[in-house]
Amino acid sequence: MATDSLSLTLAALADPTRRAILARLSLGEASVTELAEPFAMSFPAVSKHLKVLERAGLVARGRDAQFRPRRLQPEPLRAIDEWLETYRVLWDARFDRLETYLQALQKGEPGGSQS
Amino acid sequence: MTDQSIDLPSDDPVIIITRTFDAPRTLMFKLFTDPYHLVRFWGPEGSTYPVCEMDVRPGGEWRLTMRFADGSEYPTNSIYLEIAPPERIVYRDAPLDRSQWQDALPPAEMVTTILFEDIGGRTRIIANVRANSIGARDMAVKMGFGQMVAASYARLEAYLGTL
Repeated sequence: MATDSLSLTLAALADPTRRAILARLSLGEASVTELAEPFAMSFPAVSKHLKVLERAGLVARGRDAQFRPRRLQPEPLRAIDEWLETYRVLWDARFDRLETYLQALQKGEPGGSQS
Repeated sequence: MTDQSIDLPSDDPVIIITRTFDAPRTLMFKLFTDPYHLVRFWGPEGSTYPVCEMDVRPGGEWRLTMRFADGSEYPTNSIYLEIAPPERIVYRDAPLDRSQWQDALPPAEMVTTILFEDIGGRTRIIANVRANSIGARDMAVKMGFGQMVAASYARLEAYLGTL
């Protein structure tokens, strides 16, 4: 089911507007009005995107009660990074073994004979 | 305090691993599509593969059981999305038991594309691992989770409720 946190994060990141919002927030806190500015979007439309980002844990509300600024919470992004990193390590090791196996094959060594 | 040190993914969550091998690409392609060869390098270290059945064609299944020295076994199942010898292999994760999904599949957690490029008799292999999408179409991500719609509207509603 796509309700685990990784899926929520990925779904939240799937939209270019939401990625742009995150990019903006990586520079510092911003109010909803500030966030809406570059997109020519209505306030409710931006709020909707923010809601998705908040649910994925990527965005949190700041303490200023009047302006309710939003800020980036990068932890879910790190989870994706770590997840992808495991595959990078896996493929690196796989290529190492492939190289060794290929050399054995090309020398016609036992265990390296072609079927 | 805002954490500003994070690298935001500018596009899809994807990793690309590239290596060049001193062998023709027809051979390299064969190593990835013939169980006899694949089990000899697929890894991880210390693992063996008592099961490796590859139905190498689009829609075909690839069943793989990994066994470690302590006797623990990890069966996995993949579905080939594209087979273009000797250039390209694309596959995705699939449930071990497909009966509950009938003809449809749940959204892919991961799509792997392996490209074989000929560079003057040598072969550059590019492994592209993409999280939660269905290959070039990216539907699963862009639509929330496209394929599940066919499987269950109830699950769709439950999922939408979480957004």
